[in-house]
Amino acid sequence: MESYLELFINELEDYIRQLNKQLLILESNNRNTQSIIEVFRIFHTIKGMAQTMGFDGISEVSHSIEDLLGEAKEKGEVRPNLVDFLFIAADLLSRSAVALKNKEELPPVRDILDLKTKLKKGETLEYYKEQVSTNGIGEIRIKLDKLDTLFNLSNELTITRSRLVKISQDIRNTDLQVIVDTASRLISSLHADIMRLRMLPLATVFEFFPRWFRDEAKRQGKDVILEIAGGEIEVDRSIIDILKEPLMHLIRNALDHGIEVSAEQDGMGKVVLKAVREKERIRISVIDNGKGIDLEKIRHKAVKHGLLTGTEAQHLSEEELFRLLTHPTFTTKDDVTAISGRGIGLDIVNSTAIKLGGRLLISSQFEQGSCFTLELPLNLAIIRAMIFKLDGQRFALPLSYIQETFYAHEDMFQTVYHRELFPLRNGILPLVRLSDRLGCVGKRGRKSVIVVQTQAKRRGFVIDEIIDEGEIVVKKLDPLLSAPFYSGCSIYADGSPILILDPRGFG
Amino acid sequence: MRVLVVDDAMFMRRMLSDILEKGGHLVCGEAATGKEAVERYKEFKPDLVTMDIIMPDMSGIEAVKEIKKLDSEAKILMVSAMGQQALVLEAVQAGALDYVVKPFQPSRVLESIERIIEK
Repeated sequence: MESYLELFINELEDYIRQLNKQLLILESNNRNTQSIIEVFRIFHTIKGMAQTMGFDGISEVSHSIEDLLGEAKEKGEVRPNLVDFLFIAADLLSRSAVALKNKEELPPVRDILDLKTKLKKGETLEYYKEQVSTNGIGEIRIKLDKLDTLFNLSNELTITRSRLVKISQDIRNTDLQVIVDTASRLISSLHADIMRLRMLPLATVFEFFPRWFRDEAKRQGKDVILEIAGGEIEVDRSIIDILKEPLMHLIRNALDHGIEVSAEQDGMGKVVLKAVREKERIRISVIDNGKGIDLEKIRHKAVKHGLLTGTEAQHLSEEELFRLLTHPTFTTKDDVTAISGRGIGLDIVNSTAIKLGGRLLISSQFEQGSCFTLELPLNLAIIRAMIFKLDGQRFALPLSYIQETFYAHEDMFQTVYHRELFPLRNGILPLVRLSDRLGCVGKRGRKSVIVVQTQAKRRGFVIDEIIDEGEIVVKKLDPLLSAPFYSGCSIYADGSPILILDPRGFG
Repeated sequence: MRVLVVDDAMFMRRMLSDILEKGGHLVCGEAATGKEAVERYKEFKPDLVTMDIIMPDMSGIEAVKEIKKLDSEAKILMVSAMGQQALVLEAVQAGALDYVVKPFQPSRVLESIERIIEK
């Protein structure tokens, strides 16, 4: 039986997702016969599976629900309290799936069976006719680590291809060139196909939200609807895995603070979760029609916390002021009420976006609503980076961290309390000499400075020379080798390895 | 025997396939809905079909009727969860030869198949 357990859990989780989806449909239209049938079928199938595995609690609950749904054939409608009950049952199944995964004891089912008895005494319930949506089996499940191995091999192949192309260009043999071109094309399409295997629709994360949002809104007694669009857009699994938390932050912020006033005034609050694909990037927005962000309050807070002087605060652009919301200072509890709670976890959302090679964009109209957009790459394996030289060695720095670059002579650096600074336009840019930090010898004289923004910190990385900019394939570092300064490594077109810097590691 | 396994749960299909293969049969195809079952039947012409009842798209009973229309000699074994006795009866009337109730013992499934062969 052990060998079937994993398959059982996977399939149970699939059914729970389908169940929540159908229950939400039934909640808005309790006469949707297709959904009633589908919910019946889901419980029926879970029952059969659970019986076979010997999970008596799960099968007993599923059986009694089947019974409950089957009893009311005539009506073709479910009562709202039955839908609520089914939501509770769906939660029990979710908890069971988690317990099975963690090899823990299954949650008790007595309460839910008692509830069912009560429900049954008071009510006559409804149901059933045969006919539902299609669900083909032109698919197989693959263990993720197998897919990852394939993916890593294909990355190696892509790197080898760049070297092959370069060598073949140097040798200038027509026969060689033809075969290298063909191999190169095949490797590209193989790589693209494997990348596609790793892609999952955003719906995988999005479908969690309607149910969660319903519970949150109900708990707060708010009449708010959540609209979702763009769930069909596919992104790399590694991004899917990380997206849920930041989106939860953004949606909760919108619900908690954005629409509060407007919901009371205008009757209907609305939160929209929307994804749009733009070339190799996706933009996922959380938009509310609430009260918007008060810029004056941000200015006030920033000055109060010593982040800005009064004059600076008056001169900041709208965008720069919104950006302040992602500063950790703005995320403390006291600030929540002061700036309409917009700060909660925004620093976390922002740093997640940057970690994924993207960014968080904020816009808002006071009294009209706000829009928070996560702009992310479609996959993480290939990033755009700047390649630079230091002490003869090459390094890469992801472009997502870079604001600008410039040349400067060392004579222009100023030292204040052993810290080097550079007067950049109207401000001061703290400098980090990468040669010192990475233990190499930088050349003297004219240097290049890369202005790097990480969370609230803006610093100038002093390097020898920028040599290239382009796409690189990111490979993980062996955990034994990993240091906070590096996020991974890559192979340059000439075959030499390059380390990818993680600016956040420089404190 | 070449067997077509029909069930909406991948878990059940896997388990049935394992049992059948251990019993010396060959699983020539799988289907997750009634409609698919009919399509696969045309495609594979199996010696035997194991058929679930509650499935999306087209129920197992409808599928039995459709398959019987295509091939009056088709051998079908119903494999359904408890609580569907009335439907099992309907399936037998439609032409299914025997039934096994989930959760099943592997030996029970294989015995039913033996009986069907003898018929």
